[in-house]
Amino acid sequence: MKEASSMPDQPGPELPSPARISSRRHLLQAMLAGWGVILLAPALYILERYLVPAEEPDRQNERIDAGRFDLLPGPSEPPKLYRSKGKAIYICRNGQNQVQAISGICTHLGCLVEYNREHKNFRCNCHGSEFDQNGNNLSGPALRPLQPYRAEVIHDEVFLSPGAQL
Amino acid sequence: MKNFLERLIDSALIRNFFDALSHKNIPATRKTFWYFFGGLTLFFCVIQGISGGLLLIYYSPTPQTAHESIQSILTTVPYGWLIRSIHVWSAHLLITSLFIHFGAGFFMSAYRTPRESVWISGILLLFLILGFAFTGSLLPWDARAYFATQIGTEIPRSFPVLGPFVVRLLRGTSLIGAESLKRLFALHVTILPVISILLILFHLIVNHKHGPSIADTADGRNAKQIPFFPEFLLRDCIAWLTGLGILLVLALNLPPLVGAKADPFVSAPAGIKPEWYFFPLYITLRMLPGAIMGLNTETLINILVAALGFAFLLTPFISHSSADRGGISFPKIAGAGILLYLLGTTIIGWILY
Amino acid sequence: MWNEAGIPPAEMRMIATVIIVFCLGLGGLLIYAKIMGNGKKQKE
Repeated sequence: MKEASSMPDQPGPELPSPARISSRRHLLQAMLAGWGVILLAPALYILERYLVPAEEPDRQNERIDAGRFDLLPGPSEPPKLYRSKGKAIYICRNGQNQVQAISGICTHLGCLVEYNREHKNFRCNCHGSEFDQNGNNLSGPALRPLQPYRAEVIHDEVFLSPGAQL
Repeated sequence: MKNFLERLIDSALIRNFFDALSHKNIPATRKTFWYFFGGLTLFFCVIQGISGGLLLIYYSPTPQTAHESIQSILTTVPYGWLIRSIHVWSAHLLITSLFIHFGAGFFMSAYRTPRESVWISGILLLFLILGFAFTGSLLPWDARAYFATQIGTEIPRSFPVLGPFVVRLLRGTSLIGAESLKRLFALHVTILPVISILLILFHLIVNHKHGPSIADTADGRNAKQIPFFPEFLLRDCIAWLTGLGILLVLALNLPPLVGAKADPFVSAPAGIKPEWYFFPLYITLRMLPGAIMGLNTETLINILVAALGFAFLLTPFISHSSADRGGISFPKIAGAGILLYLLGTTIIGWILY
Repeated sequence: MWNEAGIPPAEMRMIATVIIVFCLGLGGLLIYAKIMGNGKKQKE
């Protein structure tokens, strides 16, 4: 649609050619889309920081105070369960009066295993994994043995850290 | 791949949806500016839903942990202060936009036949959103929240017959406590949202089907028609961007903190007052004596507020809609008077307290 | 960068505000241009 121009003989700069309009529109669409993405990025960043909790400090090698040595159960009694800070450890004194400590967390999917007095082993009620007194796998879906703990007795106090007894 | 998308789009009736939207027109008149406030209110509702859901992840609704969880959100959770700030400020902007939307609809007689149900669902939503504000304000469990809720749930007591029942229903116990927090929290995060979403959908769909209300004037009848999609929606987007801008300016620079934890055994702190949107009630109660002509003031106010609520709800029927061409009439003047009173007391409250 | 334990200092927040408002304004201009473009298209 041509607008009235003061010089009717000349074509005058009205609407550009359809091709230029359409490419201009595409440019506008692209810029709008790009702007949307640029605005979305910081919003998603803030959302991620807000929603995802910080990594917990690696407590793997922390030394744990498991209490008095003379309070530990003897070889004929069921082991005592120490629970704290995301750890569950079965502790007892063996025949040679040494501390035996083993993690009670099943290596299959993380349930707390039960000590079986009759068979003197550990059984996980969740999926049936069984471990011997030293944590070695006997049967069931668990592939890895129960994590052993190394004990140091200092002034009658028992300290545990992950790893096999030396 | 293209076939896969086409099939999904077809089965979800997406094209039909946008088709329907593009066949409805909005008149372009000088008054069209006021038409944006409905969408703006909806925009802030969406912001509330999102920011509220995010806060819900870290909030804990017991008297022992509520205040602490808010502190944690403000100090420990990354950008928690920002999410909370957005939620609080968006609430203020939502209510402001809502009242403008309500006022615009009222004064432009948008309730005329056949839009009665649009109006009624709108007024119900107004009550619900005030309910949101009231229930939400208790959640930080600070002194102001505690006493504001104590008062707010005490006021209905003097309503004839139903009063004490409503008080017990809202509080869950005789005094504000853990039970109150639990049920007002349940209202705020589930019951009110579900009802509101259904009402909003109804409000939008019915309004869409009837089309926007057009003033029965020359200006309205000869107005150029803009298709809702995509033309008017683009303009809506600008309104939303403006709202977002205002929200972020406020939220970033004026983040709300939280007062001291509520202690029911300490007297209400000096200078305590409700949120600004309850100022009309607050100022009215402060101004009036305890009894008027031998009748309990609170009972009178309760009845009056209920009556006004009903009157506004039933405006389409009070206002003789068929004859109402949007001009001056007694219901209009009365309504204007009431809204002026609400605005005036709000401003007075702001200045004085 | 930002101090996430608690609320960042006011200057930082003010700078963020300016940047955000500027970006939103840009978007507004783009949408406005699109509206104008569509308006012209209707005239054709």
